[in-house]
Amino acid sequence: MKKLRYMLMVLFCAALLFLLHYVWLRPPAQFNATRGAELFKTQGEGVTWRRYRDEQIVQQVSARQATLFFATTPQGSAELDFDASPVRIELQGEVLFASEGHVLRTTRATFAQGVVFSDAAVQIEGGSMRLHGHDGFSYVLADRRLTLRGEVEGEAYPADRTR
Amino acid sequence: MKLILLIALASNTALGNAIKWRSKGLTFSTQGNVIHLDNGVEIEQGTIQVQADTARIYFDGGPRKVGREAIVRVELQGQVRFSFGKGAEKISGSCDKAELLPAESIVLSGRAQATQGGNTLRGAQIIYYLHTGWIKVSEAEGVIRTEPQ
Repeated sequence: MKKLRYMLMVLFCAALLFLLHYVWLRPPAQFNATRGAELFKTQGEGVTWRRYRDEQIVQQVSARQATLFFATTPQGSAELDFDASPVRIELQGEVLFASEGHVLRTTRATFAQGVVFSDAAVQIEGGSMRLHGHDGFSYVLADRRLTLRGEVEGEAYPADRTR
Repeated sequence: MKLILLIALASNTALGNAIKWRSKGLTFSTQGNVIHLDNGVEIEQGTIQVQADTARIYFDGGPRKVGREAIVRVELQGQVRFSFGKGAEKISGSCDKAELLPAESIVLSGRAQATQGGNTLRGAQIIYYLHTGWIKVSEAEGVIRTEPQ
């Protein structure tokens, strides 16, 4: 009985690791609230997702804590569907999002329906550019459009002299 | 008739300095090479200061180069107010549209007006050359004060 419990625990940990490595940046499953579906959540500490192209890291997301929300099946089953992507991912603490030469740092962010958004202050670096947004941001993965709200300060070097 | 006025100014200290900006909203695509600033914009490079309703900052190197390459052009639109230089040589004014070419010049168009001390210039277009500090005014009219004898 003890051995069985141990095996189940190992299996659960393996499934969780699989999720953390493969679900990020896949199109999120459609969550249809009219079906009465409920959210099922699982949490991870010190999480990192990486996306590779030709063995090079092209995107990386890390956070001190992440909560993944999954929709249950339309019939209302409480079972977690490991084949589905999460409908929402909440990231907390030292959130870092690196993509295509830009690095975005913030303290919390949510990923849902193809959009990463936050109401926290955000710092972005890329080449000679530095950006500081005070009132949050949204990032649409489809067209990679980043919008900073509220007061924004930035700087970059002109073409006649780069750092 | 096109009248061109050239005025020698003190040497410009903006060249090579970082271009800094402040706005109340910002949008760009990491696939593109332009940043859009909205809702009130302030741009600063050395002693050059420009305020406007909106601005676009262009980076060189084609797509996917926002921030990773250098700024080649800044366009400002709507209620543009500007100032160059400092002290007695400070020039300030207003226009409808401004274009900052960091290594070359600032082009001010649409009801452009510049004031230095008690002297005022108006024109369809005012160009301020960053390297030489000269100003070129198209379709100019103005008032130049003379010292009493």
